[in-house]
Amino acid sequence: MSRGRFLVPLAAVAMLLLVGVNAATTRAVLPTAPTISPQDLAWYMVTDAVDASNAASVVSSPVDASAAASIARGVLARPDTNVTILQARAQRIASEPARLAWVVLFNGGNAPHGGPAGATQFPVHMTGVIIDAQTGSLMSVFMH
Amino acid sequence: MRRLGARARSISAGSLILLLAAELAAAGPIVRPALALTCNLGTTHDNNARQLSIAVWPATTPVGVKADIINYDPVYTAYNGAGTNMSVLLAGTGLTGWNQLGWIKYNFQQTRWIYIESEPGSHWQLWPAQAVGTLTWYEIDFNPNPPSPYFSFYVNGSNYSNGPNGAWPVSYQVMAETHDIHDQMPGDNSHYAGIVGPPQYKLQGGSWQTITSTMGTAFPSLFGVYNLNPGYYVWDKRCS
Repeated sequence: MSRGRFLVPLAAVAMLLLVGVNAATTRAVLPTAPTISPQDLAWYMVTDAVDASNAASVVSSPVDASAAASIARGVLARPDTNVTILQARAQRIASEPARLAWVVLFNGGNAPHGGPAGATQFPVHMTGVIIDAQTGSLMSVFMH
Repeated sequence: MRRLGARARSISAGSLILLLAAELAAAGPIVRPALALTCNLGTTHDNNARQLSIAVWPATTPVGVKADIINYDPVYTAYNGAGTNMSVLLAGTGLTGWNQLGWIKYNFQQTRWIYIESEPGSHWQLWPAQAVGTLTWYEIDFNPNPPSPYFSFYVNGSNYSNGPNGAWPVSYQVMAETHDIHDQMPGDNSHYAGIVGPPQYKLQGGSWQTITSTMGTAFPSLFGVYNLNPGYYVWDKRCS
């Protein structure tokens, strides 16, 4: 085996490692898209959620996912581009029927902490804005 | 005339305050016109929570708390994100879990919201707030029955949300709260915030009763609280 034939695979491995490190660095820098469990969504009166990027599962509506995201950014005054959009059935309040809605999830948020005197603050890792898919109106906001 | 004059002379300053309070109660909450408020809140921040509150730890499980709360729009500087609220609350042992419902103003575009905070787990729900100057009835009920105890949240009688999260309640509370010396407690010298009518509680196996403990504050030089008996007006003495 000549030195050249030995060096080529070494260089390839080095390149792969570099690409891997780069990718890992990139992933670490970019904010992670938020996720939320069905149980937690149920707490916010959101059911039957599907990822809006899965076109086959999304029902057509007067307000589309992109418009809902734009409305949600306005509600929170946040320009985030890395949001997760779900289509779901959602209730504005528990005593009203469920409607077709968009749920736009943002990373983090500025949660207040009311609570009793002496209580500790709890961090919030996600802020969700629920938009009526028929009218584009704000239904509610949640943080978790 | 003579009798009226004698009567007028006999009216003490305390009576005048009571008469004024009665008139205010009869007239209902006063709507604060936009931009009419001036506050002298100083120049420093301290990130400390301050309350005007009723906090009771009864011998049996509290299963409900409710109050008719005036919607007010306080000056909020957003130095921290904790905001200003008026709310009712059912809290568990050690204050590590609770459910809280009311209005809050904080740094979502300096906007007021109807809100639920449910701890532990940091569950927050927000809805657009009702108009300043109106009254909103906030009520939290706790159904303690196994196998699935849960809380229900009502705003003006509408069921806004239900859920099992929280802690087994041992305390009921009604409060106005700020989280920075530089933020205004709800209410000002001319336009009160507060509670109209009796705030109420319910114990397990019982019915709704008027909360007899009185609202107070550890900061009487900053904040005013007037017992309408029933109800309370609260205000920040630094604002007019």
